[in-house]
Amino acid sequence: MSTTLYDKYGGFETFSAVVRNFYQKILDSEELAPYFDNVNMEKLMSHQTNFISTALGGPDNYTGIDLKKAHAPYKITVPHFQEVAELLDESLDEAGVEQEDIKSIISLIASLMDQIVSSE
Amino acid sequence: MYQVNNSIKLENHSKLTHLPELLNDLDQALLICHCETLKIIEQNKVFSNWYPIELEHTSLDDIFDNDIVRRIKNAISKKRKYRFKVEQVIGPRLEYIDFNSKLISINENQSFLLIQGSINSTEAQLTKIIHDHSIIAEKNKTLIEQAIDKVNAANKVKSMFLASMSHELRTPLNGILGMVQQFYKTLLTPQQTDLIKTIESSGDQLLAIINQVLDFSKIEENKIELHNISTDLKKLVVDVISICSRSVESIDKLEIKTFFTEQDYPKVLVDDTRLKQVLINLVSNALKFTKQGSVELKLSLLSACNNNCQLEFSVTDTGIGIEQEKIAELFKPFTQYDSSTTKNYGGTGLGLSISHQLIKLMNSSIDVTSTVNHGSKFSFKLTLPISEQQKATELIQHSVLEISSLEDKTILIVDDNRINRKIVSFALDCSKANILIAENGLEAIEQFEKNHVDIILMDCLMPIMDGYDATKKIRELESSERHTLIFALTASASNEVGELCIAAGMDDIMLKPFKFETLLKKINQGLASK
Repeated sequence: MSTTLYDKYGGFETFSAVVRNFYQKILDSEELAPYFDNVNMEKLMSHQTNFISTALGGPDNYTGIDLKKAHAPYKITVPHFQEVAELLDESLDEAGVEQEDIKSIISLIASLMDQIVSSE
Repeated sequence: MYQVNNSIKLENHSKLTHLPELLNDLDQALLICHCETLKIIEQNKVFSNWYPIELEHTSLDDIFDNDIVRRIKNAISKKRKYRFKVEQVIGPRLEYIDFNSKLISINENQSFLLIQGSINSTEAQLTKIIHDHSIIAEKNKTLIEQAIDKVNAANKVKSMFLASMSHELRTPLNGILGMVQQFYKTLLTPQQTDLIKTIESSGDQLLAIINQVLDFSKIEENKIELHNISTDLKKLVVDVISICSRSVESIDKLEIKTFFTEQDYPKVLVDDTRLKQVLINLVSNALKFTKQGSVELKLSLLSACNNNCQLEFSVTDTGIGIEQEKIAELFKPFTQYDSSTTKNYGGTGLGLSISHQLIKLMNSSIDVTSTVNHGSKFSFKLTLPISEQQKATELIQHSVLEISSLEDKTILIVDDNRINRKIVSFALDCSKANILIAENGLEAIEQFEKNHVDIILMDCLMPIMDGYDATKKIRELESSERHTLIFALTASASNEVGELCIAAGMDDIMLKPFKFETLLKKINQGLASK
């Protein structure tokens, strides 16, 4: 059995750092920051870390609600979705994840676009 | 999406001229760049301290690596801040710097890229620095320990070299000085006596130098131990003067004196050999540098109570004197008054250094006062315990004198070196003792078994069987009520050899070269205390 991406890059510690960096980048973006004005970031980051960990073959701790329901109120656009994906790409790159693996992670996220984007 | 305004030109940046003074007061690093070309327009002092490079026409590419610059460009185009961390050596330390870059707009068509940097001093970062530091400190400790081991090993080699050189030099010197002593016993013309005296004093000087070098290396290794015995100081002072007087060629212009403040001094416990060595050194120095006038050795009793007394020894001369600033230099090893001293007066420059160290071992120090062309005074004070056996030692000394003839004694000389055997025989030829010869340890055992031997003079290092093994074997052969005196005769002056001799069962050690009379005295003393 081949090792999961989760284990390959150092498990929880690595991906919690990636997620923290990722949300910092989102908040640094004038376009994206307003989405998070009234959001509890600590809770969100914890959710996101568990989500990514599970998606990459780590332990299944994700307890969030349905993706579509969760994102619907925010009326997320395609360009914004793409920018978020790009920031995740950058965060993984900075954490030393190989390009090949970044590609497969991003394509995994891209497959979720339909559930997240709800605005033109 | 944000579009970079293409109308920004470098000449429009004149508005920033007065910024530096303001920026320099910040404790953050600041960098202002053209937002398109990424050319550096302004930087504050903190940034220049961290990145001291020539900044004429440099751009961000010259400072940060490609990945970072690529992401900064990307962030500019997306109107985002971009944060990054950089490791940079600042001063003596590797610092972790947090940078963040963002666009600032001054007006509608003028934007700059502002990069701020501050050293990461979060708890996690400080913990990491301390952790790294402790690893480095541990590494350094290992390196230092390795270096110390190396130095110690080199020092040990040096000591071994000195010990073996001393041994190698002493052996031929024993031949020279032994033959000279034997020569005195023959009928000599006055001219021959004069010549032979010169050979003897040259040999004595050479021996003194060898001893000094050896002493010095022992002091360096803290190997000198004091052996305190009950001592008559007045006699010791007289001895010193009589030894030193011998080396003075003309006593017409120079008076050598002793001065005692008391009629009698209490007997004290002191290492007489070392004290004598210091006094001989001080008096010989005084004689060396005094052409006319006087050299005086004075012994003063400063105070005395039940157990201790304080004494002052001083050597005063009327010689050339020493300049004030050179006094401190006197006690440094291999130092002489000036380089011409070596030419004019000879010597190794170790004498005073050794004396200084010996007096230090006795918990005191040598004081020097001097006036150029008038003379010098070297003095030291010693607080010494008063010996309890004020009379007993005299009785022993008295009994020693009673035995003077070795007529009915058998002495076995064991030495592989023909010349050495000859010299020991010469030393004993007036004693009328019966002399037996052995060339190694095994022959010594055979002789011991065949004859009734009273004293064995045993060399230590010999082929076939050495002196230590021979001694052990002889001790085994002896019956319980019989104890044969065995003296080591060795050219090795090291403490280790001394310890080996005693451990093997020898009674005493004589160092080669030796004075004939000293050997006879030792044999007499040994027989008397038997």
